[in-house]
Amino acid sequence: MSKTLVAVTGLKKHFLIQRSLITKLVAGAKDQRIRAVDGVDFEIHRQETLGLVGESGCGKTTLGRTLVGLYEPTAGSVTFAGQNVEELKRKDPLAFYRQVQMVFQNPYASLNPRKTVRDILSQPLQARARYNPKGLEEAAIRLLEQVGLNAHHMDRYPHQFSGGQRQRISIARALAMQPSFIVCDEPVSALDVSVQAQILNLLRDLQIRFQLTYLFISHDLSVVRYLCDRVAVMYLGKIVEIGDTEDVFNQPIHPYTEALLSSMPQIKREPVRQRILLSGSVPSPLNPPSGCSFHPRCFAQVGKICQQKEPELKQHASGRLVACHRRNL
Amino acid sequence: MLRVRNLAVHFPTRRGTVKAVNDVSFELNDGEILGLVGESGCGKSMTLLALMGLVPYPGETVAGEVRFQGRDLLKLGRDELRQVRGRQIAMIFQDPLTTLNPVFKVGEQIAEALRVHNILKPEKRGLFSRSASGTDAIREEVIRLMEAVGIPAPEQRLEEYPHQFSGGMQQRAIIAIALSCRPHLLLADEPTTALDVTVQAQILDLLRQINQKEGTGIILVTHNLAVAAEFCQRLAVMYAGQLMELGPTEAVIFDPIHPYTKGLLRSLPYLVPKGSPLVPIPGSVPDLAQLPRGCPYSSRCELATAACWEQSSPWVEVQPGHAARCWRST
Amino acid sequence: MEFRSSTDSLVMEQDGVYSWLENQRYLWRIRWGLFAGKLRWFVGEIIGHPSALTGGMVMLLYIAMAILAPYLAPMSPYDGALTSRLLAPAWISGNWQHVLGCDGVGRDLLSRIIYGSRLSLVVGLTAVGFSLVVGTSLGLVAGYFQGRLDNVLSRFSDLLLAFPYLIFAIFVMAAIGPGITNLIVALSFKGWVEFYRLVRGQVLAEKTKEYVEAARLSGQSDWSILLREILPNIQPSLIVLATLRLAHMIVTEASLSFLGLGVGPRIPAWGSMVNAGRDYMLSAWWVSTFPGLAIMSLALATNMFGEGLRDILDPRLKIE
Repeated sequence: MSKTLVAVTGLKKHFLIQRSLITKLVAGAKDQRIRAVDGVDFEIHRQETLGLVGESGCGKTTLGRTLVGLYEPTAGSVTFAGQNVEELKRKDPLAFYRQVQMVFQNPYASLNPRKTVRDILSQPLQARARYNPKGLEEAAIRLLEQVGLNAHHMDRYPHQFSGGQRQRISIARALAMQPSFIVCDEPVSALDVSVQAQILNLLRDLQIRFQLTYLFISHDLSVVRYLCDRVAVMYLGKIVEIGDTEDVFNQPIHPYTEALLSSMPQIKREPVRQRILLSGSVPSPLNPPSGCSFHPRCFAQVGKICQQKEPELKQHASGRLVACHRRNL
Repeated sequence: MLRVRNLAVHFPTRRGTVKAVNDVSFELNDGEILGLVGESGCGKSMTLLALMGLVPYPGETVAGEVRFQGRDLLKLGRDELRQVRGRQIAMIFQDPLTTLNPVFKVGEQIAEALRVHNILKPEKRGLFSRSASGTDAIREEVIRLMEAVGIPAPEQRLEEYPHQFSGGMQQRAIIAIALSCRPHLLLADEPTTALDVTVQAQILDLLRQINQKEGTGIILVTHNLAVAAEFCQRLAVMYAGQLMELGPTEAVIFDPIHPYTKGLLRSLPYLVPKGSPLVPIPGSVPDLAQLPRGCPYSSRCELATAACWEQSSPWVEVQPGHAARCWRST
Repeated sequence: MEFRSSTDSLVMEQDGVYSWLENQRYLWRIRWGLFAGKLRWFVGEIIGHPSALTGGMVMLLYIAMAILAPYLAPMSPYDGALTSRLLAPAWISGNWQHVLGCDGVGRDLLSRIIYGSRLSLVVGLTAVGFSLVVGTSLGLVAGYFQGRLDNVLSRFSDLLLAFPYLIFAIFVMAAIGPGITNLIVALSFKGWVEFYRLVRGQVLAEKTKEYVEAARLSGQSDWSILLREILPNIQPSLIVLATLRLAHMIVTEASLSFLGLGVGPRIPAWGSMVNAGRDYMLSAWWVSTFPGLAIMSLALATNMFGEGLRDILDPRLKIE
């Protein structure tokens, strides 16, 4: 059994905004291409939690959805346990979804408001295996218990639950398929801190209990630092740095990572270290800058090469992968 | 500078009266930054709205005193209050896009704020007699404000519409509007929640500069303890409509008195070593319409005693300037 | 592809303790409990909403009238006696045999109004039902799958919307002739468009929500997502729209009947009754007035009920 569970190579996901012929002729509009994910390579190891951080619009959610097969990649490929995801999905989509699940960000939109918890959980359970009615009920109750709810919650509607409880139901639904890989798309960002801790603990316990592999997408760096084994930093559809969480947080190499981490608010006794304030904001993925897409905001440019050549994700001495022209860091 | 005494805001609902803000008292010193922190629904935003006399229907400020520059804001008439709002107290909201009017240019919206508060009077009023110099002065002032909040190339950008601005720039434009009247007090309700961390750092930096240069007092409402811890000089922790703890940031964060503050800090991933579980607060926030008779936190508190359930807790100053509402601190 | 065994704690149970029948009974009991809860809530809301309550009561009254017409009507609605031509209502100068008086050929007005409710309600309900089914199915498919079918249907619906409703119905009736079935066809010919547009729009909004993606990850097919996930979320707006359209259909049917484009003169229809009394407006006002009041009260009641349902079921729609 190889160490790698998910391997992503050259993955691109572009969205086309097509204008109608009339608007093109009259208003001179053009078809536009949003480069949400623009050439990404990385691996996710078995039973690890890989954090995916970046600012809004950097493509981290699109990347997560492409990995679970909700979007079809524009180019490149994703392999899951050595097999190509597109092929798997074509052959037997259900078999693929039995391995790969997702927990969504918004606990209010991710549960159908007109279905009871019983219905919500029965669906994936029955897709996974054939149950007799009693077995189905017991399996659903067991799922609820695994996420810290109980049988009394079976016949209630989502609006009768708090945000944290809804997120638990969402997690139970993902677990129903007994996946080995779960993409968590900002699972705690809509929750209050005290509840957030409950869900983080739950995710950690479930990972140990069921040997799960997580891709944990978040913009909250403190959560990522706490939960993730490795972390990948995304900027404008590309991964700029990937490595062990502690290494990255203690010694960021890419200038963007450095700026991102320094702007993270801290609770610390010692005075806050010098903050790197980036100028401007993230450019539009409709029209990314030439060369290194970070160069217009970068404070550590090494010359023209930054504007002309796109840096590759290269192995750094510390074992980390970094996409930057800067040398001897 | 600002002294709030026993503020209470009630909302009548079908299930009973919701005490959204319940007996809240604090004061803000000159040029100070005070953080109002708590989880959603704890009444922190409502407290701000109540200060400005903006409690939405059917809510009502039923008691309290808000003393600002020698006057009780709650007793002012509507027109007087409007004079204070915008002139001396300005407010920034969470979502910049809904605060800016999408059909007007950003420059016009800042100019409008200047005109409304008569900061710069055009020399002659009237439809045809608006002198060029008056409008020019306004234009200059708009450009100066936009520069002050760090909007690059203000001469061009004042001709743009809000949707052409990024989220951070929109928030800057709103701060420019808020600053147009040179307020003494700035109320910021989650000003960076909708923004990315790098932009959040920029905006907080800007607010700090304003505070230092102009001596503007700031009350920052946020659910993000880390932001509050870094940005504010004093912190006020709210829970279920009540003030639970108030003190210097350092003391509240590292020497919390109230069990709720302690619980909140323990459930944050900042201070917990990797691999060890977080310690969440059990249960969830109580229904504000059916609060227990005693301390609202008693249902989740590990240290709750019979007294906590039965009687409302006393406000005790444990150290000078550091107080909490808890029986255990007596 | 390997499946891990460690999590296979959820493997299928062997034969349960209960029989299949017992389980079904158990499940139905739960479903009934949920339904009863919703019903109780709904009844409570209606009672708390005076105009919806009034509208609903009046509607029920008319429905009962239509069903029980043969028992309620004091006279035959078809036969009249020349002796009682234009007889005035009982409280003016007539007699209590013909409470609301008689029409130009001596038929009892009350009986004709009672029977007339049958036509209004049957035509209205069938036309709404037909429009609902057609519009909803097309809207679901067009909104979910989009593509060329959506383009064609949407342009066609735009085209239909360009004609005023009544003129369109007159045109259809003139082309295919009078009759109950034709009336229903004429009304639903354009009636589906409203449902189509509502459903299509809501499907477009719902299908981007995360619960739809979660359903896909649970292995549900497109059709299953459409019917089991999305449709239940549209249902409240559909009920509201159907009620509001019913009022509209009733008025349109009455208008067509008034213009002589409805059913034959023998069958009691409120619209044609109003028309028949036009000539006597000054001498015998009651011939037109009472059927007119019937149209108005039923349409008003239906509208009030519909608006009430909107307040209760679908507060979002209020904005429109």
